[in-house]
Amino acid sequence: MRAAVQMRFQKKDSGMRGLWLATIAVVVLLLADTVSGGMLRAGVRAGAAYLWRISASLETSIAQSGIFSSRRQLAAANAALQEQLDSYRAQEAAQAALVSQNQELQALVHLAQKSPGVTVPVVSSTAPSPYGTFLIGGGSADGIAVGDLVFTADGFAVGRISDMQKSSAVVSEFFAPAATLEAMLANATITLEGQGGENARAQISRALQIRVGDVIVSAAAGGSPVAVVGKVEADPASAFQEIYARVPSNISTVRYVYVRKP
Amino acid sequence: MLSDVAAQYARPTLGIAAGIAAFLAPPWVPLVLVILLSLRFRAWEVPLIGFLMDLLWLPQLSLQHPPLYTILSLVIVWALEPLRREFLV
Repeated sequence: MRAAVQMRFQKKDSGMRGLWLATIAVVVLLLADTVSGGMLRAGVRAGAAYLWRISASLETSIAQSGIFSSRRQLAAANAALQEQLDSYRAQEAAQAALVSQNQELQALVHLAQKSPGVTVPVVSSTAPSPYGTFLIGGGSADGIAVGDLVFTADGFAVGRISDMQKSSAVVSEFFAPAATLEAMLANATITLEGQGGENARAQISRALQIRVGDVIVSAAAGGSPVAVVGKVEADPASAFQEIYARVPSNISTVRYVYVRKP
Repeated sequence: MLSDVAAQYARPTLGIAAGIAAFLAPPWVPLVLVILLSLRFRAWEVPLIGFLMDLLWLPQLSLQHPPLYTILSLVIVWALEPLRREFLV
């Protein structure tokens, strides 16, 4: 009995000791990371980006292998794919002419670009971050700098580079929780309050005529669009109306973003 | 109350799950797992998991962007010590 009680006290002591050591280690590592200018963060994020890429390709392989598909589902998928293949063969002939035209147009677009940028892959999910951030697979080696703007393919600015390493960078979303952004809507200045999940809301005067789908632009994004109006709530008793804005693209499914100077 | 054998498996399971959730799951998932760990164990892995979250996701380490998850995990694991001392051991 005495031995059992003694063993319990020894366990308790070693538990406390472990907890103290972990607390001290965390404080020391935090200071070391600050002093080194983020070297520890760079290493962890580089490793994490590598792991995410592997898990994404594993996920694709498992889905494509059909392991989790029933026989009937596979037969239906096979028939649909065959039909699709026939359709693509028919379109192939027309594609050649379009490709040639596209190449000519791309040369014109390149001339028209005011500030060149770089297309980089999104290497992390956007869901796990409690700060409204996500990682991209491009960094200082690609000419990216802190403060650069990040765009989706449809031309909407979704955030800016807030931290960077050689081959990866952290993007802080404009609509991160508790973030605010000054923007313009219907020639009026509004303050968008980030709600997370690429959503924001703002309170504006009832006198403004706002419609769902109206585009919101921001000087902080170099005058580029940042969101569209998703919903308008007007209370007749109030002098204000609430607008709910959203980024048209679903960031969690975007695979590539475009980064350029502000 | 968990038997010692069950507790022996619960702690590494919760710890590993919280570590994986830091990479893949919404932020409330590692938070819940860290609370569960701290309720039952003097888990040294809790501050490390909180620190890992900040290493991965914190936009910048500055006064405007304090390491909230690290601070929160330290507060949780230490604040639950009186409860552990009262009801466990």
